[in-house]
Formats: sequence, structure tokens, C-alpha cells
Amino acid sequence: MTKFKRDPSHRGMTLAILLVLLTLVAAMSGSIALVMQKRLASSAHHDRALRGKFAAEAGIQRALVELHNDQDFSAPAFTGTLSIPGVGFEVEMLNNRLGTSTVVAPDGTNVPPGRVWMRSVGVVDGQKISGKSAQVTRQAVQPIPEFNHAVYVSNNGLRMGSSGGSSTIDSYAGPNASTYTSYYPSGPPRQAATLFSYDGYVGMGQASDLIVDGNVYFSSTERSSVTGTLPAYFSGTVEIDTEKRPELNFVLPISLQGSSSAIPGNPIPPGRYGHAPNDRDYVLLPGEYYFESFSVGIGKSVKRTSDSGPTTIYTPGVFFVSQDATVNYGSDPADGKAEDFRIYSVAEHDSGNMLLTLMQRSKVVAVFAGYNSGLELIGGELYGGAIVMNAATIIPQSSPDTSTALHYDESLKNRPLGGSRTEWVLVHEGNN
Amino acid sequence: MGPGSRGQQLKGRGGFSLLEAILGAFLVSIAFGGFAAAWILQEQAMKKYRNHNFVHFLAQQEMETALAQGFSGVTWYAASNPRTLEVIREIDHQSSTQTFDVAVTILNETDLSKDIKVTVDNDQDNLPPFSVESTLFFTS
Repeated sequence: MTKFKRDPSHRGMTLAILLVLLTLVAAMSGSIALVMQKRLASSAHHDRALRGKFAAEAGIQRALVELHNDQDFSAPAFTGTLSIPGVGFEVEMLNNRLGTSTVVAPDGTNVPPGRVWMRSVGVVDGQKISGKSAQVTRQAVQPIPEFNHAVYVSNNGLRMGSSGGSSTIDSYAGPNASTYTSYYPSGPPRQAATLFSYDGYVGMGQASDLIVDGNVYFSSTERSSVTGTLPAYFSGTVEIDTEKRPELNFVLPISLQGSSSAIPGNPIPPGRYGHAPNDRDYVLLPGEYYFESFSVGIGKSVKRTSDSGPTTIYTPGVFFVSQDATVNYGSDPADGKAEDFRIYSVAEHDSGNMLLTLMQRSKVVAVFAGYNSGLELIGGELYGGAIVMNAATIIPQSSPDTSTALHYDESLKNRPLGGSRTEWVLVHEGNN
Repeated sequence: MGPGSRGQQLKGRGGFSLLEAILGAFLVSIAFGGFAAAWILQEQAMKKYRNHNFVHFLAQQEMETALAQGFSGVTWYAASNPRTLEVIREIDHQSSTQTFDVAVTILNETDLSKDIKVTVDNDQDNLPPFSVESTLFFTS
């Protein structure tokens, strides 16, 4: 039997073993405490990071508010606070809205013209939160809004005259290969076109397939015929709904800012030109044009050569279509898409003042929109256009020029047509 | 075996004195007591950590849900608060039901912006309620 005998040379080992054991236990306890401390610290850090993250998002949203109030707002750094004590944000901005070339933001990203770069960092207890989690980088742009009114007449409203014939507002199925003349819808009213007339007035005239929205006065003495959501022969004032009117302060595209050049022969390339005289036919290409004013002479035409993209004319002046003239009303139905021919009133000097006039037997297929702009239909016909203007007057002429009419293309009612540029949206995520 | 021989044998073996034994036991008990205390604290910290993280998760989820409602929708969403969420969590392979009070409030409302504050309170622990706050810009 083996006996464990005490080896005199091992005297004191018990103490050593005990100390080692105690050290091990202490080390284990220490490491547990360390892990515990790190977890609590991590939790506290997560507290700050999460608050910082949403505070940083708040900074971006506050920057959008600033941009809404001032489109050219820019700040090397601005700060804000939230209701949680010690929580806020710091935002850097680089506004390239009116820039002509791409600029590089502090974080190295490219900011194209028309955009605003923003970087927001959450601040908690006076300290910016480090790390990507509480740092938000975005870019904002002013989008072309969508109007859900195919017809939108504001301010001075709508005047439908009664002298000599009838004036008509209606919807039609849109341009097709057969003809533009079969615009009357069959079956029940489609209510495709919406008339928004702010304190408007409708005299003698026929307005069919309409949803009327806003304060519209229908003359009781001249008996307007209105179908759609309103009963026929409605008279009086109706206010169905009030909604925000679009702001139409168009911004002239950067490519058109600069001096005018002489108008060359057809086809005329996109560019900036002066007055377009009424002594010739015009052939335009897809692209953006600027004209001081535009006159289409008697029997003359404006056509597009290609359907490869929209043709847009910006003008601060008069767009006059003489008798028997046509604009975008062609033999090729594919070129007759109203949404592809746009005439916008552009405010170069604080206010636009485009006046669109269509004389007898003229036919125009286009979209018209603009701030402080107006439409006069004096015996002409306007097809397919989404009309977004301050005022419209429809004055039928004596026989045989009785076809004065606005024919709305129902397919356009939800198309983006251009308009307000005061809204900003986030379109691009930056580094995170 | 004569008298005294057993005592002499034991004496010959050496061993711990009473003082050594008491001291050793004391040290070992301190060490293991410390370890046990650390372990208990660690368990409590782990529980607190889990609960805290879950509160973070709920707050983040609630804020993102609120922001996703949009400018007008968030008002309606906030009107449905505060509410109590009953959550079944599995902790250490055991299911437990916990309740959390969630509040979404709108502060500093203007035509262009709304400040949104989300507060989550865990009914089970004594931690103060956790809040996050952000802003929503008007979009038509």
C-alpha cells in the first residue's frame, strides 16, 4: 500500500497551492466582473448610439425644413436640440441646387447640380456620437411633382363664355391612331378630368366628366351644364374639397441658362432662343427649349420629328397660335402624345406671365402649365393637355367656329407634368 | 504499542495547525464567496443587459414604424398610444411573458415638421424608461 509521506523538502507547498488556487478564483471573479462591466458599458453605449441615430435622422429632416423655407439654404454646420435632455444633432450642408457642375462633398461623394448634400451627426450629452450608426449622409433633390388634376385652373378660375356657340370641357380617351376627333367617351362618365377652380366662375358652357374641386361658382342665370359628380344644371357655389394648390414656380433648367442664339433652320436643336416669329413652320426635336415668346402663324405648324423623348418649351411670354395653325397635331399619331409636348411658363424674373392663345380652328395637342399664366381659347381646340394655369377663358366664336373646346386626355391625370419645385425629397443614401 | 507512540506517529506526519486550517478555510471561503458574488452579479447584469437591449429593440422598431406612417399617418398612429405590449420571450430555454409600456408622442408640431418621441418602459425592472426622438418633415 502506497503511503503518502510528507517530504520535508515540500514544506510550504500547501500555502503555495492555496495561493495559486486563490489567484485562479480571483482571476475568474475578475474576468466575470470585467465581462459584466463591458456588457453594461456596451448597453450604455447602445443607449447613446440609438438616441444619436434618431437624432441624426432628425437633423436631416430639419435640414429639409430649412430647404423648404429657403431653397438655397446652406450651412457649414448648424445644430439643433430635441426634447430629450442632452440630445441633439449637428448638420453640415452643401447646396448645389443652382450649381452648373458636380462638386465634391467633405466625405468625398459627388454632388451633381440640383442636389443638396447633407451630413447629420447625433449629439448626446454634448458629444458627437462616433461611428456610422449615428451619422447619416443623404442627398436631397426637388422632384417634378405629380398633379392629379388633368385640369387645374386656379386664382382667377375658369370663364366659359357663351357668345355665339358653346364652350366645352370634356375628357377623351387620348390620342389614337384613328383620329383625334372621337374624344367623347362612351358609357358612364369617367370623371377623368378634374377641374380645380379657385373662386372660379363657369358661365354658359358644357363641362362633362368632371370632378369639381374647390370654390366654383356656376352661374344660375346662364345655366352651365356640368356632369360628373355634380348634378346637371347645377347652379350656385360648391366647395367639395379644398386641397393644396400646386405652386408653379418652374426653375429654368441649367442647360438653358445663358444667352440666346439665333433660330436656325429646321429641325431646330434644343437651346435658348429669342422670339419665334410667325412666318414659318417649326420642327422641334426632343429636348428642352427656351423662347422669349412664340407665334405660330396662320395655317402654320409646329411638329416634332421624333418620339424618342419629350419636347419641352419654357417661355416667360406669349404662346400664340393663329387661325388654322396646328401644334403637335400631326399625321403621325405617335408624335401626337400630348404629354410629350410641354409648354411651361417659366418665371425668370420673379413671375411668369405666359399667355396661351388659340385662335379659330387651331388645334394644339400639348400640356400647359405655369405660374401666373393663362389660357384663352377663342375658337380653337386644345387636346389632351393637362392644363395647370391660373386662369382659362373659353370664348366660342360665331358659326361655323363653334368648336371651342378643351379635351382632356384621361390617361394624363396621374402623369408627372412638372410644377412645384419647392419640395425636397431624399433620393440618395450616402455612405450609410 | 506503548502509550504516546500514536501521538508521536501523528506528530511525525506533520499537518496543519488549527490556525493554519482556520486561516486557509477563511481565505478559501472569501475567494469562493467573492466568486459566487461575482457570478450572481454577472447573472443580474446579464438579465439587465438583455432587458435593456430588448427595450432598445422595441424603441427602434416603434420609432421606425412611426416614421413609416408618414407625416399625416403618424398623428393617427400616435393617437393609438400609449399601449402595453405583452411579449413572450425565451430566456435560458424558458418562456417568460413580459409587458412593456410603449408611448409615441408628437411634439412641436408645425405645418412642416413633427418631432416624434418614443418611450419604452419595461415593467419588470427598475430602470428608468428609455426614450428616442426624431423629426419627420412634411411630404405631400
